[in-house]
Amino acid sequence: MEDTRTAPHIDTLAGGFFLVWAGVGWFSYAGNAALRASLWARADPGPALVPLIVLVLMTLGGGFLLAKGLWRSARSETGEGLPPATAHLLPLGFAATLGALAVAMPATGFLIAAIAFCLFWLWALSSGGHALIGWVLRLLAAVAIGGGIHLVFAGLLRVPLPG
Amino acid sequence: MILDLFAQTLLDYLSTPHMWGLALVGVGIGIVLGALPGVSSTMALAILLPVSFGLEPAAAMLFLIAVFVSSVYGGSISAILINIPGTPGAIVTQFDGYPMAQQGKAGHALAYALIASTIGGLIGLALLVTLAPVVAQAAMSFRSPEFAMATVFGLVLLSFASGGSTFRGILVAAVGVLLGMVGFDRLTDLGRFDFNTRALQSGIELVPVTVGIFGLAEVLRNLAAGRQGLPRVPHIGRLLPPFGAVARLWKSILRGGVIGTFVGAIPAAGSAIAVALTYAQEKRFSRTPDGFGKGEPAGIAGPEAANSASVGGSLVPMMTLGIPGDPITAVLMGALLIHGLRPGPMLFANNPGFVAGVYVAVFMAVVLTLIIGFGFMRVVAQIMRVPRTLLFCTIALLCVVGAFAIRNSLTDVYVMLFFGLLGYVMFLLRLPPAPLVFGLILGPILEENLRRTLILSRGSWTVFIERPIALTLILMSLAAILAPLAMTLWRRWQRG
Repeated sequence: MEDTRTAPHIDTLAGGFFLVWAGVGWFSYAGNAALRASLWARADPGPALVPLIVLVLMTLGGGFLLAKGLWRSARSETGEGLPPATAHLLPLGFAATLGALAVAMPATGFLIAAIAFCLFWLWALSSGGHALIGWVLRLLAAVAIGGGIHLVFAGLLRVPLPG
Repeated sequence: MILDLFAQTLLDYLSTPHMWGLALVGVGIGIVLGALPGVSSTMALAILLPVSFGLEPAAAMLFLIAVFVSSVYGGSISAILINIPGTPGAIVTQFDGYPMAQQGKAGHALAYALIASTIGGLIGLALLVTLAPVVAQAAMSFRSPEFAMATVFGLVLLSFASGGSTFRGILVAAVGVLLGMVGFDRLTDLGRFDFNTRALQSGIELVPVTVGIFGLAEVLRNLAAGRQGLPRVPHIGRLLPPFGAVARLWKSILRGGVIGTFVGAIPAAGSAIAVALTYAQEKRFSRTPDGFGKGEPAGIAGPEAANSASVGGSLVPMMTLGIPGDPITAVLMGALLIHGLRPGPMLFANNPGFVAGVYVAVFMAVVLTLIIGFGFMRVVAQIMRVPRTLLFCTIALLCVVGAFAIRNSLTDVYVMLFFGLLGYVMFLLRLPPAPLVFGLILGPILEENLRRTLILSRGSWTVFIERPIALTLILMSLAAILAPLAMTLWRRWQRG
């Protein structure tokens, strides 16, 4: 049923992942008196039934994975673990700048924010160096990508993009 | 009657420039996106889903099906030229396609794939047209208990098919179901899991989640894997193989088409299984099995026909039962729901024109893929030389704009970002992300039918085992859950 080729801490973390979701769900359920009272209050089993089933499943499943990870750790089992922390810098940085783009959009407008985003990442991910021709090409590509998307969505599909 | 409706709808579409123009654009985009390594058919559909918001339901389905069908063929282009399957269904195409390309016959390999894909697609469509009304008619006897258990069965099977462990897949689907419960309950107006915030009270939109999980998360995965480089694309050479060489492949194409359709029609089986089965069959039937893996045309034609035919097959459970067979049809079903159409047997009874529109969309997509595929094959190969950094930036911006477009709200962009990061974390924890989207789509349908059943049965759960179809679906769900466990125990027992 379970893939045991992964490192034990992957199981532990996966268990924790589901327990966090279940914890958030239980916290919200416990704080919602109306929802709790709705369970089998009338002929309708109520809007709490399915969430309860799901929360129980996630709690038991998450607990099982957590226990399995801890048990395998205690037995010093090994397996494929997480990549080194440095491997996450690029994806996390990419997501962070995308978040910054969303924050900047109302102030700068979509087009400028999108061009700046593309320009930065085309520079960061390319090996073209700092030569002027490289920057001109990157700028052209950034304008083409940002402008193209703006044209399709704002121009043709009438999406009211900021700016 | 359905053929009359099909012909009428086809004429309508062909006489409307807007419709065939949409199909043409969809096919062009689909081939290119499918050919680009790192862009799956699911991702292509997810990032283009917002484009369909402003369209009529029939036009939206035409556009999305055009992208779906053509991206399936596009996946084989990268498999043949650079040995990276663009889509899971093209995984077998590279076995013989890439060696052919290395022998300087890339054009021939692409042509075999395209011709087989077209014929396979038409076989899949023929069986879809024949099979779907029969299944829909049978499903007319379904009531709430059957629909509830069919949804459970779909969730379990899709978790089983999503890669990795079924158990983890089911837990991920449970997270998706929970997310589908966020916001006001439709029946009682009670708020659930909204933490009294306005953003959550209206529920979690499907599009930002889909775009984040299938779009942004894939970009982040590619970045983490360091896949930014420029793929080396060989020259295509002569395009058309000798007629006799193509004609000799008719049996392979026919076998692939039939296997692809039927395997594709099994929820969760998917195109990857269909092509693997077909490849094994072709090798078994071949007089020169040693040639397989070294550039054997039948090793391309059979699986490509199966791959394309599985599109028609995969639409059968989605259209007739409302169960998406794989992540791609889940996104398609999401598009239908966004347009206020719920797939299922009633769709055939209430909206036969729309169903005919889906058939026509598949037909047009298959034919246009052949035309554009041959006409622009060299252009697509050139596009594949585009640095992936450009692709990543474009996809990321499409994710932002696509999430924003659904409600013109930046909140949805943040939701998309959250689910993009969540998808990345799930990848690190070996958790399949697709069941989360299945849960989000199927959760509300499951809840509605479960509650209706329990209201009608006055709270008795025995109704599910008293009704034969519901009971069968429960047993099949249990079998799908227990099968991997039994396999593990069996392997351990064999190892002693």
